[in-house]
Amino acid sequence: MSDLIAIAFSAFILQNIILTQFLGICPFIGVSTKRSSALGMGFAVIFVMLISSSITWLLYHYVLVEFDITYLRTIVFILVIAALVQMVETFLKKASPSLYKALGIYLPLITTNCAIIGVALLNISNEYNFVQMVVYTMFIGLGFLFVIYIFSMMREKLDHAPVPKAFKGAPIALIVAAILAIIFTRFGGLIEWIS
Amino acid sequence: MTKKENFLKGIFKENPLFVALLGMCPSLAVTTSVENALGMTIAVVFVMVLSNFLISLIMSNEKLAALVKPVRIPVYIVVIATLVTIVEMLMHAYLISLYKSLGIFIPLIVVNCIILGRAEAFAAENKPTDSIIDGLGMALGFGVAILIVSIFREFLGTGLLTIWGDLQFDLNFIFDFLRISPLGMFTQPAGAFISLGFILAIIAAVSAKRQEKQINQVKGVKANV
Amino acid sequence: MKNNNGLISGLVLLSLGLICGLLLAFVNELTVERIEAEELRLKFDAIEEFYDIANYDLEEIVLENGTIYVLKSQSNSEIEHLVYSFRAKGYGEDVEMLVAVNKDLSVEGYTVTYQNESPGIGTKIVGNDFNYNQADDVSTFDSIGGATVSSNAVKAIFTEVSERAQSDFNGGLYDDEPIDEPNELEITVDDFYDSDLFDIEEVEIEQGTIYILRQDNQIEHLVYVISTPGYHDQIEMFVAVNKDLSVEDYIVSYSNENEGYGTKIVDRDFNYSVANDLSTFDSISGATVSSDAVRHIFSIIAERTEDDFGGGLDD
Repeated sequence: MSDLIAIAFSAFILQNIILTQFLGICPFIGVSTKRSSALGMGFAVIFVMLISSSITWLLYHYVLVEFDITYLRTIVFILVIAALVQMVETFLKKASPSLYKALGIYLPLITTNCAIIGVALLNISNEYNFVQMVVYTMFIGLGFLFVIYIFSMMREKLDHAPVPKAFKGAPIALIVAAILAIIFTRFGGLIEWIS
Repeated sequence: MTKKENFLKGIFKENPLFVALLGMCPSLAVTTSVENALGMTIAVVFVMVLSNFLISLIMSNEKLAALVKPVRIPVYIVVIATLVTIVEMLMHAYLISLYKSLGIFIPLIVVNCIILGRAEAFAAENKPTDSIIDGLGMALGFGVAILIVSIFREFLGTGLLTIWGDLQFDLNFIFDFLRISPLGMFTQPAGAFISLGFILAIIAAVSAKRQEKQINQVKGVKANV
Repeated sequence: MKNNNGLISGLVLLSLGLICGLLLAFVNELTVERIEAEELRLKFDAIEEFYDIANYDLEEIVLENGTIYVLKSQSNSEIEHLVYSFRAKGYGEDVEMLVAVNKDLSVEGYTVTYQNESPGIGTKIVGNDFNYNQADDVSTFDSIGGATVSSNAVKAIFTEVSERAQSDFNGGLYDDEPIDEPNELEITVDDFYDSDLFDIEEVEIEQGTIYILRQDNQIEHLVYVISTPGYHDQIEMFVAVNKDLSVEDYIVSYSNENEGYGTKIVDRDFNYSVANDLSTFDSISGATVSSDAVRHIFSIIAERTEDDFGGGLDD
């Protein structure tokens, strides 16, 4: 149990996918201009990430390893994710139009979101078992949602701030992200405090 | 568009990182040393030139293109993923320390938007030779961009510039002269964001100046008339 | 028509996938050996910091939380050094260290091979002197102030080493390996002598059984079946001794020792030829516990065999 808590905590804060692992930067900068879109993207990522990580984990351990073709993992993972995103999109459209309305437009962007395949690959290289994998993926996803949501609130304020002309847009967003990153790495002190 | 223009646009006018803001993940993650950035550049050049070439080869054959059209995105993905895996295996075999330090970012070249973007926007509609030139230009443009970021970060963070293996320049005398020590923060995640933010701002400032000049020139010409 | 097109497109995609798969298999075939060699070289480079690998026979033992590299002397295959590569939970991720220990349990050195600790604080563990000099003694450990978690990870690794170093050098190294099926042989007196020629009597003693082989009421041979604790389980041996105290033969009938080490006692010539003379006994280096068990069996026999032939058994 304690190892699961450690995995969850470090996935959420210490190894925060955006601020320390640099995965999913494109949506982080691109879709974070409004709070509502940040929330939509965050939930869409958690949703797809959980399904895709589970499927790729099972495929890797029960097919690729079994047949000794682990070198095909990149190609298999990306195809699985692309197909999955398509399927989720069609399914949501039919089954839950309201959810589709909320998440739908973010789904196509997710195929090329390196966070999804990145986490699928990290689950393998970290040698997690299935339960650890689910916990890790869940908290990585929550970490993504958390950071992109606070970031969107900051950016809404930034629109009204007197930012130097050259810094407008991406540059100031990156510098704000840097400040967030400093805060997040220092949160690590909590671990010292807990133990 | 001449071949030279085609090549140079990737490096300056349409630089994928500095102008189009594509491929930000690797440019933040692998720029802790110049060596890592160089290694990433090599991998991206290999994948991009070959993927552009192969995809334009497939798409310039009319019969094949008609068949591929409805499934073209998966086809691109398969081609790119194959090339990425080949690069990954070759690096693992021949450049193992680089392979270890780039880690997960080698397979992640697969989802680098630059490569898929160029396949769809350029290679699918142009001749193979032009596509190779475009791929080379774009990949080198990306390479130059991450090299700049990495020089910025490694110098400020450690006072060193690691070019390749043991080839390393020690520039700490500059810090000694200024009586400060290197700013370790620049090798950390926060430093990555700050570096890229400042570099983008500098580029924005420079290009704004240039535009102003051009507008003034145009105005001047008009006034003369 | 449209459906048909979809099918053909699917086939195109499938065949492309197949081509790519085959291409990758081919490249994999070309590189796989070199990759393995390079991975090994990378590991050995770290060990080379402490010892010159070329001078030793190297063996790798993979455990749950790390690997032990065994450096054996090339001349007598005794364990000279052990290099532990262990991991422990650090601040961000696992910390991985190499700890090199000599035969006399002095610590040759240690180095951090992987860490992702917080820069400036936890990263101090790299190259730090933790004052850890004797493998079985972590009490001298100096932690780094302000980097408790990272220091604790290092200490956890040292503690793990300290707990097992001593027994590893004494042959316990293979304890974590799955214990194989015991070596069990159906041995009877017939394996030594033709039982039809003798009257056979069975005498129970404290440590086992003695078969007395008599001809015309004279004791001709004694077959001792003695059992004594070995490494994991009892070791049972049949030892046949002739009237002139020469040892006819001995067979290990039951043992369950460490694979590759203690199992050497089966079919081994211990150079034990005179029943009451143990001075010629050859033990197996690296399998001290198992050899000692065998020696113990022989010594039980050596102590009593003369007396047994002399009529001591009738009492």
